Amino acid sequence: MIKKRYLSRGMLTLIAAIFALAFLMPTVLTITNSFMSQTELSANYGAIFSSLNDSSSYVSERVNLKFIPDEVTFSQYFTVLLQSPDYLLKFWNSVILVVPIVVLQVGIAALAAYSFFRYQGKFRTFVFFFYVILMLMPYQVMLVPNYLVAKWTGLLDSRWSIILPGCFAPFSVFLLTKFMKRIPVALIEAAKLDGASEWRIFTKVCLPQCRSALYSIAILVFIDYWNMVEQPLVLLSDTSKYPLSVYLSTINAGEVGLAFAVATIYMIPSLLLFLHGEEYLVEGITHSGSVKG
Amino acid sequence: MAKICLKNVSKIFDGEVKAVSDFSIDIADKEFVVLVGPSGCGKSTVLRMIAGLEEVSAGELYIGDRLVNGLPPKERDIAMVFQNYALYPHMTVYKNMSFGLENRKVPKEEIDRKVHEVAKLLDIEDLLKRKPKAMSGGQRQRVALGRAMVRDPAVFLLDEPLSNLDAKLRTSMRSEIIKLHKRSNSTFVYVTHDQTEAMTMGDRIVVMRNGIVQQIDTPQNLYQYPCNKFVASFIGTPQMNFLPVVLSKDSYGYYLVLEDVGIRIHKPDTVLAPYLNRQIILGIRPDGIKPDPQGVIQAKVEVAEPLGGETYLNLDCYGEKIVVKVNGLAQYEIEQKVALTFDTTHIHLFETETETVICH
Repeated sequence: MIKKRYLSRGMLTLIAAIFALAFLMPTVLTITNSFMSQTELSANYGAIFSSLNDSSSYVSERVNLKFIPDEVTFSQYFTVLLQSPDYLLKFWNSVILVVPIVVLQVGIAALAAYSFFRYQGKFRTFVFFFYVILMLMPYQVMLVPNYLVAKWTGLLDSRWSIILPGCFAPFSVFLLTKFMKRIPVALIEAAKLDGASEWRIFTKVCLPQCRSALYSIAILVFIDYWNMVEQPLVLLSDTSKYPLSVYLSTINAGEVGLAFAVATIYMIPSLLLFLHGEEYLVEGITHSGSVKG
Repeated sequence: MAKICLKNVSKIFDGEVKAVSDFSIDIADKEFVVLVGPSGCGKSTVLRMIAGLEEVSAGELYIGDRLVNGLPPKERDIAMVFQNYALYPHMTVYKNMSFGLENRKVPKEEIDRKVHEVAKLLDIEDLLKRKPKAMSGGQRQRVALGRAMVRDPAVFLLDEPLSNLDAKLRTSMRSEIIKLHKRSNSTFVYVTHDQTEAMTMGDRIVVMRNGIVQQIDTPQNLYQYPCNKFVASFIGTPQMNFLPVVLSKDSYGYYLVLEDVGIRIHKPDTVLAPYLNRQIILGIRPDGIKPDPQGVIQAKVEVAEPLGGETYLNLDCYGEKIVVKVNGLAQYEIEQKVALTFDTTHIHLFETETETVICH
């Protein structure tokens, strides 16, 4: 007797669609509302912002979630991009913090992973185990030691106090090591017989085959640091150095329209990176990439 | 000069597992030597030690006149073809072939000339821009050979290079490799578990078992004069038949007793005398046994395997399984009784305990 399916395919698709819509809603709302005029936004979200000042008025009015603007306007973008240099400055702050972290972290992780992959020394297992333990610790645990080290080295309040700790990440090393272990040993041996130096084996044989893992790590690190809040708040006292992620929360009630526009602009780099490397990202994380010789 | 000399070479893994014991051989310049044996016999380990991919635990290894025990692979002037080809998947065929030359800082024009020359020779010129995943097994195999050839090494090492190919392609690639050896000035060391490959390709064959060399000889000598039962069973398809017999003697000379049948043999008395009235093993190849209505040895057909020109009969001969090669036109039924005669000029006798040969 054929067992009846518990849920039909159509039902599952419907449930998945409902979840997808629920998760997409804030993003869609942010994007569409960034094209609304300030007046329309105040009319829709006045309740929230008035409640921040006067809690008694909160219950009396309702928030009107509106996806389609009555009138499409680019005025918020015009203000953000051309009339408020502050936002662009913060965007640039984010870029100069995150790009070096991504580049250095991927580079350092690749070198560390390669040594785990190639060398079978006595302490290899112990060190790798140590990496895994470190990986399990949340960043917040390291924040105080990071602060103390930054202060001791005199890097406090400089961008390096964020960039340097960001260069070293056990998770990236772990992921890359696992990925590299999938490279057939015969390929490394063939390269050795072909007269390649260790550096050439690393750069010409090993790294090209880890492209998907490198790309996925780069995307994950980018998104992680693009959204950072704690590090700048703890390690930077000069607010002019704050990245956009911290600055977003300081936007006040009167600029709610700008907030939507800034948030949309803020999403673009992560989104572009993801769309460009979606295939690599999935392959890199699931370790399904074929590196068969 | 690319002779290879292994003197009492051993390989011990993790201080306890002895993969190769006391391996000694002198391989002449331009010789084609095949290492053959069942899985885990240490043949690939020997090859990898020659390549420099495994350290030699004990003994001395010479390539030419140089002791190479401590030399890295790139300084040994060798090229290796791997079982799974080990082509760099992200590189084109051209890049795969030129990589070794680039590492040796060969001028670009020279690289280009050599790659095209070898590609033409192997008939892979139209594949130069392709990547390995876009090629068939046979094409990959050619590229792997090309990658090795382009460097014009003193020694070619081939580790079961044909085992991933289908039977037809394997046969054609076999002759390609033989031709390649004739054309090149290199010494070839070839590892396989397929005795047909070994017999057809090697100038000499090294038969290994459990890390120990059993016999080193020409294919013909291995077939005709195996030094023990293992070599006798490993070389030749179908394998040699073995029957337990007792050596006896009467006034006419020596004879072997198989159940209630006597098989007269003519071998020197000095060799046989120590085994008189003892159980020994009679070895005879499938083509040394003939169905003969006058024969006194009785057997029963279990399976007949017709191959067209010939048929292999799997027989039950006094409780022992034997294979007999007969004419392909002959018809045999299952359970049919067959009378046999043994061609005693082609028998081999082995000791029961040590399985070493007594005489051929």
